[in-house]
Amino acid sequence: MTSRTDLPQTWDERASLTTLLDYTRATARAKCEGLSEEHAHRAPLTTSPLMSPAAVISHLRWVEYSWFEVVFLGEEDRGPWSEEEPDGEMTVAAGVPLPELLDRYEETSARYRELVAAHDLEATAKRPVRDGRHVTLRWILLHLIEETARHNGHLDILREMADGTTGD
Amino acid sequence: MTDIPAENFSQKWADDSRQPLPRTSGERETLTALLDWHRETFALKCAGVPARRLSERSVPPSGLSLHGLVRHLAGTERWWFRMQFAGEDLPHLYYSDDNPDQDFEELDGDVTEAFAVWRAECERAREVVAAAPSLDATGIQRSTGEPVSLRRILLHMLAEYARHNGHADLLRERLDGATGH
Repeated sequence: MTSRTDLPQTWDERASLTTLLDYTRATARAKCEGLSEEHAHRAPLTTSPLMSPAAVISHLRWVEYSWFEVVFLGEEDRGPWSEEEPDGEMTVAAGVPLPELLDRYEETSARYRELVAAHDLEATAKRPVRDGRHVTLRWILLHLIEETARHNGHLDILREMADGTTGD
Repeated sequence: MTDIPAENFSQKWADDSRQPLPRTSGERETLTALLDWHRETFALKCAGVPARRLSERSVPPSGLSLHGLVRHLAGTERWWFRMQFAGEDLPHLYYSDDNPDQDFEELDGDVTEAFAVWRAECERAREVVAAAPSLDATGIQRSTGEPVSLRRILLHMLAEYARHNGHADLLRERLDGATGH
């Protein structure tokens, strides 16, 4: 598995949040290491036919896009979803090689690292969320940590079902 | 994002009993609320499942089960908040050096009792956190003897619960098809 930095022991809020978010991103990548293309694009749960490891990686990339660019910066939503295709960020992964999906994910994460570094954690998003309130950058970082970690739990099981590989 | 129809967002869990999350609070309130949200999410993922099925290993070849997870989470709460942060002199729950994976592997005990033990550990952990002067307060990490801050512990537990709730999502989906975030 890729080398990952776990949390520092006593760092401040910003260092702790950014380190943990990077750790969860790296864990998602580590769960894909050595996975065959066939398994990467197979969704083993019949009740969740879209949930392949490749689709989860694509979802994670576009979730970051949505929170940082659309919600926080207030830019126009150019994500691959629409009313007709609400899960477009997952279906768009079909046929795309896993290494390419991982590269796109890392590229966008690198861009958002710079964005986070340039803003105060108390800064509020340009666009409101569904309840009409404007979340802080702190809230977005914490949300992405728990969302990415939860999907890593999905990846744990998808990977073990695919080829028996387990690990933190 | 107000132009997207509600049904196109990921579906919320039925009978949602969780407190709405604060959106603009300071660090401590946001972090503790989010951890409580994940504790309750785990409880919801287990709610309505017949007791005997909670021990089912429903995503083979994984050995995970909801019963195994609740034992593991109870042990994790005690280890981080009580034993390491608060320095309480307590035995491990469902762990020994000779039998480290008994939390996930030994499922012949009373599952209802396991949930009561977990609830009690969560409650005690909340008290420990509430009594701490700040997130910079430290306990001692047993493995290194080094200080470990409450901030670090809360963040670790948030990521820990979220990942295990990812496991719970698929375990529950395989038991009766129920899904939701």
